[in-house]
Amino acid sequence: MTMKLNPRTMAAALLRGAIKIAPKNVAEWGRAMLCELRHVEGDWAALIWAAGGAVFLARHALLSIIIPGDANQIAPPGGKFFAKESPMRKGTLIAAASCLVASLLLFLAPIFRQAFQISLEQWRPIFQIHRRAPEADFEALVRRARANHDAEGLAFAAVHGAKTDEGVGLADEATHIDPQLTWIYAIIAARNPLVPASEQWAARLEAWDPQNAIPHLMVAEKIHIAPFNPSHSRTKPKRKRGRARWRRHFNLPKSTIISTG
Amino acid sequence: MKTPRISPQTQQVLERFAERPTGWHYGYELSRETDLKAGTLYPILMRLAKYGLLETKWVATERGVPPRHTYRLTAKGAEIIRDCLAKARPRLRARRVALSGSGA
Repeated sequence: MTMKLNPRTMAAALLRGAIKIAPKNVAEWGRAMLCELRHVEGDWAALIWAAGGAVFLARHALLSIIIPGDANQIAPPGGKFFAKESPMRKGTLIAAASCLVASLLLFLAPIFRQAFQISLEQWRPIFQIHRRAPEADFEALVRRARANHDAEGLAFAAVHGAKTDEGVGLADEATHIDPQLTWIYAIIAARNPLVPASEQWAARLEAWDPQNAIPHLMVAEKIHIAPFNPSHSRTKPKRKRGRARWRRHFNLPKSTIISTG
Repeated sequence: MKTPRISPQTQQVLERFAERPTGWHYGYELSRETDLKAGTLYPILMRLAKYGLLETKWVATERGVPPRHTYRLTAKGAEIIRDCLAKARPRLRARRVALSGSGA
């Protein structure tokens, strides 16, 4: 059996659906509109009638969620029958203002501001919003950290900077202010094992934290990579020499077999 | 005391009721007479009924046809509406004249 889908059928279905979600005190008015529907002349006029009614019922359904208890409202005094329903308006305004204030208060938290900014980042290319170059931000951050003698800010810049030389200088500045940040040398060396100063850093790191294996790994990494460095391209890679350096550094006997994979 | 403001749509509905204060009116009939859609008319009727100015009743018209919801002014409603319309008419008339721009 197939159901004929004409505007009047759709109109009736629309109103029935709206009646189901409407609060009790308004549902009767929905049924009144539904009963009038069969007297409306014209199928499209019936659909328009139902659409208007459905919007009215849906609006009350929504309002009953936001402001419960509106059904028992008594008549206003002083014959103000035609004035806007002030309790409802006041309640809606209070609810809306509270939501707005609560959402604005979230911006007081730096982590929320940061997350909000990140969420907007993805829209920049779409709306062709050009922000200033990241290098400018980075330089501003370095300037601010230097001015404030902010060791952590300098350490952050040392680790995240694109230029190795600049990173080394910043790391020196950071550790000069706060020696507890000596560990940042390990990060810079891990990213750039062939930095000339890495052997000195290994010594400093070893003195700072004697139980840590990282300084030894830094040296091993440099010995392993150095023969393949483009700057050494004129000389033939000499693994034998590298192994000898490893043995010397780690005080290993000659009989030790070193595999470089 | 501040005079209650009546919207032009509410006034249209009230005028229909005021024409036949003791008669029962159907929703669709009021809609045709006032040219108001269901979404505008029924909130007005609902508010008037809620404040006791209208009485409502379901009436069966024909066998096998669902009953219809009908509306009539209450005595209190007739009295208040007469008073409100008397106050509102001059203001609404002035507004209509201003909107038409004729000034006549």
